[in-house]
Amino acid sequence: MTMRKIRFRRYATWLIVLAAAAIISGVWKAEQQNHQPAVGTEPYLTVQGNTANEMATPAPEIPQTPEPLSQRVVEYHMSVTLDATKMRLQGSQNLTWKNPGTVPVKELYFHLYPNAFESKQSTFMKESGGQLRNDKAKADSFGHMRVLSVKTVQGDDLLSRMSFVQPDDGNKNDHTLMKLVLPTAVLPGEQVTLLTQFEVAMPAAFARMGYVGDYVMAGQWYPKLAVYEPKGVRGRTEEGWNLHQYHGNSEFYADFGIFDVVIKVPAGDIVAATGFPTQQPVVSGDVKTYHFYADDVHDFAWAASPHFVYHEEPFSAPNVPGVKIKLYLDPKQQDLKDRYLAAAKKSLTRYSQWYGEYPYSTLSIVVPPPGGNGTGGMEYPTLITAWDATEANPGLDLERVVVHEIGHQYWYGMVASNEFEEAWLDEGFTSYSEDRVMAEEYGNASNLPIEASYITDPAALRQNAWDYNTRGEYADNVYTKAKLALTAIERQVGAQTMNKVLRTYFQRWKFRHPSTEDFQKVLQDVTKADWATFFDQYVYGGLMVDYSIESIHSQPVTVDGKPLVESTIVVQKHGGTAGTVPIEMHLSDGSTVVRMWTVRMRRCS
Amino acid sequence: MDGQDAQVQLKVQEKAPVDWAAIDPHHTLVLENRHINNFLKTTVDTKWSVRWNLGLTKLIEIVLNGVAW
Ligand SMILES: [Zn+2]
Repeated sequence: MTMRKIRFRRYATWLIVLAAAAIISGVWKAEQQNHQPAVGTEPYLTVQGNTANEMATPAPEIPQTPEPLSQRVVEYHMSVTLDATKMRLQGSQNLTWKNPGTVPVKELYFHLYPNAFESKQSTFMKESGGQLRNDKAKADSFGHMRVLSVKTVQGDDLLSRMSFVQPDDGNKNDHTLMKLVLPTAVLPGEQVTLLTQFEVAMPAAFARMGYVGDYVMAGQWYPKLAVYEPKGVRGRTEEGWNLHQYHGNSEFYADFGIFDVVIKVPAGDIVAATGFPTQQPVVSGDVKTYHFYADDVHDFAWAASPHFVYHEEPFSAPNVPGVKIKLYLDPKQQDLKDRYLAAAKKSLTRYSQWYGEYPYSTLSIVVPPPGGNGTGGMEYPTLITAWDATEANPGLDLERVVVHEIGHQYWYGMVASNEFEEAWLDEGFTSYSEDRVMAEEYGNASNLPIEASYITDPAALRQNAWDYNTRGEYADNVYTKAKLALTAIERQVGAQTMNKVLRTYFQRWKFRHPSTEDFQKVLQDVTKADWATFFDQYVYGGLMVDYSIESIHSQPVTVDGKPLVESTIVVQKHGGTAGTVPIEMHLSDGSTVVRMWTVRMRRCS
Repeated sequence: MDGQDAQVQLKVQEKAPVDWAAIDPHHTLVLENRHINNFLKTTVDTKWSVRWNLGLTKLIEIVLNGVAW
């Protein structure tokens, strides 16, 4: 997810604070603002949108990946029908789960995320106060998911074996995590298949899902199996389910597999979805039926609207074997097609060059209609949402959000960190990567000193998302402090080595759910240095760097018979240790002396 | 000097006294989040400076209260 709104508002505040500080000291040069791109901005190309009827999409593609990229623990075959008048979904699910562990498993757990919007008493609503980013839950923001039936393939009804659990806070009014006790345990390496009927009432667009008029964003729209972590995954000493409710400050975690989804919508709708269509949409009476397929992904999202202006463009690059970029524009922004496409191509080119291949055959970009920002700035496998189309002539925020969400295709999509417990591994890495693309491709560098200044409640980066006290504290840490920590590492090891670190991390851990410690190990392997102190202070610990000048005293001295002035400057460390602290001293005669306060890096043998 | 220590005293012997000093003026320490104490000036017009500082503190407070959420 992208945090633009928090950033922007507080950015303005801190500009004023810093400006005031500059007046007090009378020394600071005005920080360079970087609000506007200086160079490298994509020109506006007001090409008349070739509003290709997507019915003309060429014949279905065939899965391009012969070898599975992931372990494919889950296999979903689903069918869903959108009732656009009531904004409800009727769904059926045929789910197969393979036990990846070494002991029999008797219970399955499902995330029923839409139940976060069921009442004000859900954990999500209590924690968020009904607000996410700048978007407030509205009176019509209630929604829910009902599981209508669960059966085995033999037809045994399991509904009575279902119950809600609240492992994080014991809030009995929270129904976002469902436990299902199986009639027989699933043995290691064996599998179980369940047939489920469910219904979803979509909320008005808020917190990543919902509708605006006849636009609907279906994220978290199906009962989604939790992750069963074998021993050793993310440092687990005992295998088991990773179980959390849906929180105000938390995104998701799921296992890789296959998604085969039939989507039925009103005949006039155009559907965007994870994966690729296996056939042309078929219209029968009032209903249009789409069929999508995706593998080696851990989620499946889709969006529908009769107003999407659709464009597609094939693209390849040295590490992008062949992708179809699918753009679902709002009519208000149809002249901006080329900006979206350029941002997508630049992102794919850069990330694949730096980290590794983009192996999927599609990348879909959905632009929500005005008022749809609740669903904007969000990532799903092979599908992202941009900011809503409120502005006909937006600034570089348009590019930045696309660059950010495509970055997630690597850290959220393929590396697939646990966003409940270690969100920084996704948002921090994505923000760091986003900054690189924006600087290199758009000449739009982030102002890191100012961004650092608004971290007023630094905290540990590796902690449960809901353990941060506020939404702002969560965002400041898992986005900004995390990005700064990666930048600090980069400053120490150099850009080239940092790139090797991230590439090695991606290559070693893609499709495998790494932990913070796994990243630390890659860093130590590549740099052949011990990063324990750094991680203890800034990653596992809540420190920032904070040095101050406590005093300056001068007195006359005589050195070798010459009269000089000895100045004593006391520098105090309040936070963590930095490698080298430069101290610049200005003398009354106008000259400058620079001293370094240096710490040796311990090196591994 | 050892950066593990909490405090360091730097001594410089020059022809002129140090007027003011700044830690990391080029922002190489990206994790530094309180830049306001990175700078110290020895000689200032006390009266003027104090008054301005108070005025600005008020201004910052007003701005922060108005914008913060
Ligand atoms: Zn994000």
